[in-house]
Amino acid sequence: MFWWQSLADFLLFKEPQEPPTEFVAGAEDRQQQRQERTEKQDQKAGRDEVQPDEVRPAAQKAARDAETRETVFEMEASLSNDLDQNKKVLENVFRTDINDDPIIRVFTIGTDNPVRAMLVFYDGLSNKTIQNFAILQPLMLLSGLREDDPKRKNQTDQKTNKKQAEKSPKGNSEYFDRVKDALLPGNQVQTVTTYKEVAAAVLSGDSVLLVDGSDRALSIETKAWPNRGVQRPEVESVVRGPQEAFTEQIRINIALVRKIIRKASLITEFIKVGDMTETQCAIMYLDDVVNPAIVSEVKRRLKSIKADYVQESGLLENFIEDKHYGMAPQVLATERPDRVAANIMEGQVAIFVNGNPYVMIVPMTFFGLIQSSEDAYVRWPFGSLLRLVRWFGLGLALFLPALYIAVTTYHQEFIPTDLLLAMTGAREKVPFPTIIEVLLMEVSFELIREAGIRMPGVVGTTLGIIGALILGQAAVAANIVSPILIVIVAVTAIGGFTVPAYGLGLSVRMQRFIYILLAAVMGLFGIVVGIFLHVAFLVNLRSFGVPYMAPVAPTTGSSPDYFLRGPVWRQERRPDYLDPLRGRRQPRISRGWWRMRRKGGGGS
Amino acid sequence: MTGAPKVGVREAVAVTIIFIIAKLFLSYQVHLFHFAANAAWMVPLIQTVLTIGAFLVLAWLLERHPGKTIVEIGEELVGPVINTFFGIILAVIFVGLVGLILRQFAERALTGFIPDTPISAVVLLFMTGVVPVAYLGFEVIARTARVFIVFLVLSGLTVVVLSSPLWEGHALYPLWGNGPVGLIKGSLVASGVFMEIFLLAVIAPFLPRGSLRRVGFWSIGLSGLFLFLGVISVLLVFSFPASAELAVPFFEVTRTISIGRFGQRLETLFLPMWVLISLIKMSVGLYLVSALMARTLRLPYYRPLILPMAVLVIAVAFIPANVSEAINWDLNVLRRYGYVIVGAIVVTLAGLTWWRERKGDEAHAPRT
Amino acid sequence: MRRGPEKRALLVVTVLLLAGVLTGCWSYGEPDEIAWVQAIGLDKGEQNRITVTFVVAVPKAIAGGGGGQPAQGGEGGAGTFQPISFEAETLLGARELLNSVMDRRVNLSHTRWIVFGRELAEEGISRYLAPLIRFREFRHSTTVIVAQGRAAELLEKGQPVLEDSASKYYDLMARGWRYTEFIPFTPFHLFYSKAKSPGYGGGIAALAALEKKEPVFPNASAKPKGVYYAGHLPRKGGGKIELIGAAVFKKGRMVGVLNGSEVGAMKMLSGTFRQTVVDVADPRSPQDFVIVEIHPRQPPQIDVSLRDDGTAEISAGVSLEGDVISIQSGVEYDNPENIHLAESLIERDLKRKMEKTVTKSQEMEVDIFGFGDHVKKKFATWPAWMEYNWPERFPDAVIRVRVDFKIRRIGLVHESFPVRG
Repeated sequence: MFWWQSLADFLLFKEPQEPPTEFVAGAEDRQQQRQERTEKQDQKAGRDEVQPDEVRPAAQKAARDAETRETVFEMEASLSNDLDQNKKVLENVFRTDINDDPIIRVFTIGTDNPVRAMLVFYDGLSNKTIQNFAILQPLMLLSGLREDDPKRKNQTDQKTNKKQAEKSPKGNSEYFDRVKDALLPGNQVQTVTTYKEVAAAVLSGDSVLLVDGSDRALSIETKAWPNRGVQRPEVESVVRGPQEAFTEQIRINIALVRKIIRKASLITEFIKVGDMTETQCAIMYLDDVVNPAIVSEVKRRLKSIKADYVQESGLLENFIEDKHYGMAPQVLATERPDRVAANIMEGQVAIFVNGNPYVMIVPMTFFGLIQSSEDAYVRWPFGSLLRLVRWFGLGLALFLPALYIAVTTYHQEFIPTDLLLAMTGAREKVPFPTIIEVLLMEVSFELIREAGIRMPGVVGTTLGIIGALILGQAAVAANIVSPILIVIVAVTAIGGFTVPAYGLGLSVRMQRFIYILLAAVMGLFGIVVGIFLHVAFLVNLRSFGVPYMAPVAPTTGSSPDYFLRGPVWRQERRPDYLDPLRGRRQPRISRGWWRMRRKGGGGS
Repeated sequence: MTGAPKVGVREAVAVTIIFIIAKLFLSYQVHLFHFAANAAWMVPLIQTVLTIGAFLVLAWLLERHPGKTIVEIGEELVGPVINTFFGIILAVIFVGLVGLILRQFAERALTGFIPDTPISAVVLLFMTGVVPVAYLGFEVIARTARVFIVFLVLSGLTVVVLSSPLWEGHALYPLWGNGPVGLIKGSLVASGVFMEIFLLAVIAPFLPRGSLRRVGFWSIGLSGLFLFLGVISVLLVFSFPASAELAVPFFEVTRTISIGRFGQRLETLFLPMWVLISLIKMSVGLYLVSALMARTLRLPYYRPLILPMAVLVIAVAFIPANVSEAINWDLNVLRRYGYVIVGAIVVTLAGLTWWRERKGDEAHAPRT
Repeated sequence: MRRGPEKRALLVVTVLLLAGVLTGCWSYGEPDEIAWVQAIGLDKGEQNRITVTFVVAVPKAIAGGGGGQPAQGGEGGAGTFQPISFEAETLLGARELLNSVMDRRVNLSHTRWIVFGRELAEEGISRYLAPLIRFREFRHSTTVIVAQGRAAELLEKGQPVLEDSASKYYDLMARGWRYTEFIPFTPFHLFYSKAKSPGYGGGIAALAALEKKEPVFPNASAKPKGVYYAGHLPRKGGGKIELIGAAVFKKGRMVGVLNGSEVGAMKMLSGTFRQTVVDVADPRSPQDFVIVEIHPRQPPQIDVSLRDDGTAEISAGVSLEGDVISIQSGVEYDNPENIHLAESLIERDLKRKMEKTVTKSQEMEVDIFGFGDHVKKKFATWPAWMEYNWPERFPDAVIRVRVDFKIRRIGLVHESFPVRG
């Protein structure tokens, strides 16, 4: 194990006992090494059989390389003063021997006293124009232009002396500062000091400039990821309201929200989540509104995550939700900036995940999941109507097939006689019991629905035709199901589509089957016992410490905006259950003109 | 589940109301028609007034000992031995109550809706709903009750409104029924209907400070109103002698409602109201007996007691040989004498508190 | 790993539910495995105590996957229902017997009519009513009907003409109480609670009968339309069943029959009257009629006073209003100055009918109007009211009827001119 100790010594700037030759990977045996690498992986897979002694020297070397890289990150080793040394380490880190994406461009800064420098970046992630014209050109060609000032020139001559630099512990840090302050015209330039930071910056598309003789590096913003432009929302579309949706780029997403809430107190905090690859997440909240306890809880949860790969907001949701066995989604994922803005204004926290067009809003309550931004954009009676329709749709999607089974097989006395006889007559030739019939149709419908999402768009119409034929006419004509059941399944499906939150829709789809089974076992009794348990579990649920069924249970003060939608001028208070710093949203009299008109124009 | 549950005023009122009025959906009214004939609708009103009086004593006692349940108060006042005795008596009474209610609900479900099902399956299904919810604790029960009470009240009022075309106003006459004596006697004997207000003695520490009286008055008042509506709508639909015959009068009202040719046999429509109210009642009851026992036996948690108590309740439910016996035990034995015992315990403790306060603090000081 | 309370709760639920699923489905019954009884008939037995007739629906004929056969006349043939009669001791016993005939399980929860044969009705029916209130399958809105003759025959031959479904036929027939005076409103729950109530001391059932083959009246003299009762309607064609008039019960025993107008008068006095058409001979032109459609204006006003000896003096005020729909004579009753003449004409006619009905009910000694419910307001307590014993006192009560009728509309003609030439 002595070799890695020596590496550590080296990285910690202790005197090296022996040259760290392990770093150098000859380009000539690149091919061979690749082979060995795969062999090594094979051996790893069959580790039990293979004795460590049998590992060949080349493989040993690869293993050592790997461990070196890990050490670089684990120890968070600082950069070296020596450009060559840095280059060696970075070449090892980025595997330039086999990986063609990372580019390490060594050049000379064209000051009077030329200094070697190195630009590290990933091809394709960074913007070539910026690199050429805002980094390389100023440094290589234009850096001499401003050296007229003799006083400064003298200084520079002194400081940029390489030998001098090696003597002083700071290196030629003033030259570095001059490069940063005067020579680089980049708009965002950050100083980084460790290999880990260099790697992170390069991987996110920045270019890192290392200057010989300095143990610091400059990370210059040159991100140019390929990304979609801002487009219309596809999942949460509205008729009236803004028609833009988030994209995969976190900066754009944040800008979309900031565009709506123009307040200095709107805070964006970046948090990196994940071990193997760090995902950039951001939380956004209004500093003077949100309850600080919620923010610190969100941050605590995000920071505590030790995971390989948290690249999608859905994965992150799994990591931060309160209860995993509960079927209800405890965060709201939305693709609408206006919705995020509205919720932030209420005192909630938005979580952005880079590479994902869905932004999560926490804490979320059950009633929030039933809302759509359009409720607020149309006039309030119609907003209430929309919401009622949606509640009804939710009820149908969840209960209708179960109720159908319960009523037709347990409580037939409830069915009007004429309808009952018609239903009975229609069922005469159907060989299956009702429960099988319902399951058959529900399962077929789920199949069609899943197929509709997964299949290539080109064959979409085919599925429509087949689905309609199979589910509709043919099943009835073949006496497999009764016609009335087609109506039931269709209405259930339509009801399911009114549920605005996709996560809730999924949970409804699943719970529907539980209710169907309950209905088959005990009729309406089973269903009601199921509802009782369901509500009890929902009530027991908390989302980031906020009761899920608030403001109904527990009853807390709230503006008229949970079951139905009240008029906007009555939305005077932020929800109590969030315990925001500012409870009042608008004064009691929000329509100033109203009182004025009554006072002034009372006579008319 | 750390810390004591916190229950808001509305949740507490909701849960108490449901705990009290669930019997409306059983044979409660039968009892009243026997005592007060066609003036039975007055009995709930008189009982409400009486119960508010009794509640004032309970509230006074609980307010003298803030943050304590009746069991802890008893321990402080009469010592652990007698108090254990008290606690066990209370637990026995409420286990009996909950067991008999379970039996009656299951029997009614059986006769009314699922006639071919064995009663054990119905009881099992009920307990499937009740045990987990009681296990999750009082906070969850109260909030569940708060969610459902809107639905329950709306359903109940719908029954009353839909039955109104069948009302016959003269069913109220002769106005005084069996006469004032029968009325008072009936009210006193049947005062056990409000026995469930004792729930507040156990959940008082969970309530917001100083809200006990508010919770009590609202619960008793609204319960009285709902009981009144439940009695009077039955009376108006069936008139006196026929109304006394019905075993589950409110259920019969839902059966009788007829809105044209298509809206008949609506009992199925109101079955959810029926089942939910009994499920909530049973959950509260199960929690209550478990919490009572846990506190009496000075155990830190009630949860381990839920399952044993559930078994006990089921066992009690199956003691009566038939449904008539169950009704008789519930109405004529348990409630008639049970509330006297519960009342006696409360009055004893209140009396001791009063006596001790009069004696002054110097006698009290050495104890603690 | 710490197991949360929810998880344990879920575990309990799952285990118990599995237990339920594995053993469940006791009351599960497919609707096409149940025989739906639509009407029940009870007669005095021929080989046992009673004859019970069930009308069982044939759903495939009603729903008609391939075009349902219309109901056919004749002996309950391949129509939309199947009548089956049993000789049995009790109604529910016969239901058990029916199970051995029908392949489907018998269910009574969709029964629309319960028909008693007249002979059985006169013998007493209270013992057959008991299962109706106790047994869960019966619905309270089932119409109670008494058949002139045997119920079995009525149900067998009573094929619907317009309907495919017998239950719709029964339902709509009984709903006639809403728009004609001849059919009383007799749902089972009302029949039952009135039979038990000392304010009535009796009940009313609708009277039904099959069409009579031979002529009902020997001559062609003028007779008011209300004199008929079921089975005596002079007619040809139409369905077989006639529903007009009422059977009067006292202490569970049928004691008499009311004809069409008597039912109307009873309904006006007891408050269940909705609408009817009255034709009154015009005194100025006796061959002609004034025809009005009348509605109740407000519920009947019944004032009661008790004499010292306990005799009740009842003054019943009936307020009606209506539209003139025809004036055959051409007399200008539509002139505002003459309207009161027409009004008093109708008033006199209605009052005479009601007084006749009151007299008849006092002769039968049954308070079919529910006057007792108003008399009891004079008593403070239930025991005092029971002691008064209204059913015994009713025949001696002094009952006065007042009718107040107002014409509101005169139809589509503003004023009529005599026919000339």
